[in-house]
Amino acid sequence: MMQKMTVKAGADRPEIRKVLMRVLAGIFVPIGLFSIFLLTQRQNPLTVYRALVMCFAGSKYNVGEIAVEMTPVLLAGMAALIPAKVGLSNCGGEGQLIAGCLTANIVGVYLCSGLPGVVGIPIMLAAAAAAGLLWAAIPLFCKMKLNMNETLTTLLSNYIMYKLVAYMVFGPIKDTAGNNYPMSARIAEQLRLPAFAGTRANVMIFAALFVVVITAFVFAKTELGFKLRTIGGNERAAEFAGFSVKKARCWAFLIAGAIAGLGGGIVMSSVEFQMREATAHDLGYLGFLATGIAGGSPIVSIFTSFLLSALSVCGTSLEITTGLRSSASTILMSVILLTIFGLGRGRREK
Amino acid sequence: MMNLIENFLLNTIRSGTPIMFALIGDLIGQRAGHISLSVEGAMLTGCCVGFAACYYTDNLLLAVLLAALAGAFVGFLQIHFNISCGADMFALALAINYFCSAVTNYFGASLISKSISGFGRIAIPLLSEIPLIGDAIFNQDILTYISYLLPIVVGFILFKTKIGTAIRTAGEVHQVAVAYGYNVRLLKYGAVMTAGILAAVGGVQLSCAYTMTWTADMAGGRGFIASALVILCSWKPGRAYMAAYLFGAAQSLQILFQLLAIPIPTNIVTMAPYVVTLIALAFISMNKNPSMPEELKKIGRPLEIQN
Repeated sequence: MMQKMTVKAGADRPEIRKVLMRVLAGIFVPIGLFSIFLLTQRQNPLTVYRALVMCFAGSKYNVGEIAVEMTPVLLAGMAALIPAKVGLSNCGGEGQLIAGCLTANIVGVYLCSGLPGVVGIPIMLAAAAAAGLLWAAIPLFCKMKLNMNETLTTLLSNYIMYKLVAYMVFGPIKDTAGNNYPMSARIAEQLRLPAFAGTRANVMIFAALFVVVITAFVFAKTELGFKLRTIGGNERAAEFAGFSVKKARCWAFLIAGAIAGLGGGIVMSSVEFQMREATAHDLGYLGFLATGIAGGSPIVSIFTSFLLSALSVCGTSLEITTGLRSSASTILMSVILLTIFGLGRGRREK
Repeated sequence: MMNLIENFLLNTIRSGTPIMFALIGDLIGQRAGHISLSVEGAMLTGCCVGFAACYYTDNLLLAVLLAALAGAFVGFLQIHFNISCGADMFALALAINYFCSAVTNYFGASLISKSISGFGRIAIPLLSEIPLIGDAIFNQDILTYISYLLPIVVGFILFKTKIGTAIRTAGEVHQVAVAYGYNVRLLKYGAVMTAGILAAVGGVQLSCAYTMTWTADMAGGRGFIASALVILCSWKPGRAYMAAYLFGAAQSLQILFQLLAIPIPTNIVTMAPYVVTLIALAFISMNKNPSMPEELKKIGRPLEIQN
């Protein structure tokens, strides 16, 4: 599937080849570093890597799990990538995604519980996208009207969203039928996206891939994409050419928020069903980092998102098969990230 | 009522101290033209390393030194990958924070719910007897006393010494620093690694003097807040007192409301530090930021240092 898509976006193929080289080198260096770590932890690296590979492709269920994880990661990745293309940095995918997740739950439990799935699910997802958009609108306002640094405002707004969710699940939306645990009620059966047999995966992974391909297509092939790239590349040139820089930036940021929010809505209606304090945490950051190492290419971000999602899923199974704490896989993930940043742009420009 | 105010002041200072360290650290880095959002990760690492050292050796000096070493490493990752490898400053910082969170989660797992004796409070004779403020300000741990002096010392170094001028020049028009024969690369490495060191020491204060516990991801965005507060200070160390204790006060509201039995949900009150920081930033942004180091305005464009 990967290869087919690479061919489709042929326009930036040399770019992709370089980035892919980077990704490959970015796999072998961390494998070496992580092996050293494993040896210090009295683990046989070969056993651990075999366990990881077995997990990646071992069973239909695991592949499904990776698809489940990858869906919001891909969408959150686009939420970081689209604003980056027009020169804004959105580190708030995390908060926007959780805003969508929370809203989907509230809408699902309190408004749509009596509706059939074909009506209810789209309403939930639309509400989630709207919530992500609104949560992105706050830092956007701060940027456009008050000239505040959007990296900082989006990061801080993530923490505010964490607290807001905690407040909601401890208070207003706490399940009155539950045992006083801080969690919301579950959304009704018919509002849950049907999973493929034998897995928890559902059709939404294809929706997420579709969003990525559309993004790639718009940026690579259309006039709109050309305008947006000009704005990101040289603001002043874009203004001289008569492009409305402000308007484009606003729309890019809002659409990004909506995409992240949609990701949160999908998480709610496909696997979580109820809201807890830590529901959907870190998915937004994973998406941000996946595009961060993809060198601005949506297509490459499919690959990097897969890698990060797979490692995230397989951390748990690693704990079962080798007794290594699941946070070990996060170490491997972050070493991969740092290595790819280290291989970085510098070499390419020279 | 007296007790209440004393308690509020005490908590304001104690929770403001880690911010003070990270804030002053990142201020030095930003003066050299580099925003280190990785102070978040450095602080978390400092929390973990310091706590581990306190738990296993009970040697406070060792705790600070090891934490500082770890913080320097985090700072090194931040500046090296940015300057020498051309990685994006902010995305890189988030990756570093992710790395710090992963490593401390893994190695800190056995430290959860352990207790330490940590840093004791040292009362300064006479001064600590002053009513109302004496106990809050002059009956603190040693790291807090150091943090009182930090803005003054760093202000002196940055504005009155040769090396300080060199750092600031590297952050304004680095070509000038090059022309004067300074090694700009070295200056930037030094400044950003100092940011990591100070943030990590702030982390030691957080885990070994203030909370006396280790919990996963306990930095909780304090590093990001510190980074934001640098803007609130307009890059002037003297204003760090105002910024750090503003945050400390916002953080202490929770305890104040509890003592006063004001029925506001905890999770709403604990939003205060983040919201207060955002609002303060909004106010300062309405000025035109006259003292913003020039090189910070160029962030995002590749940095080419010739020397």
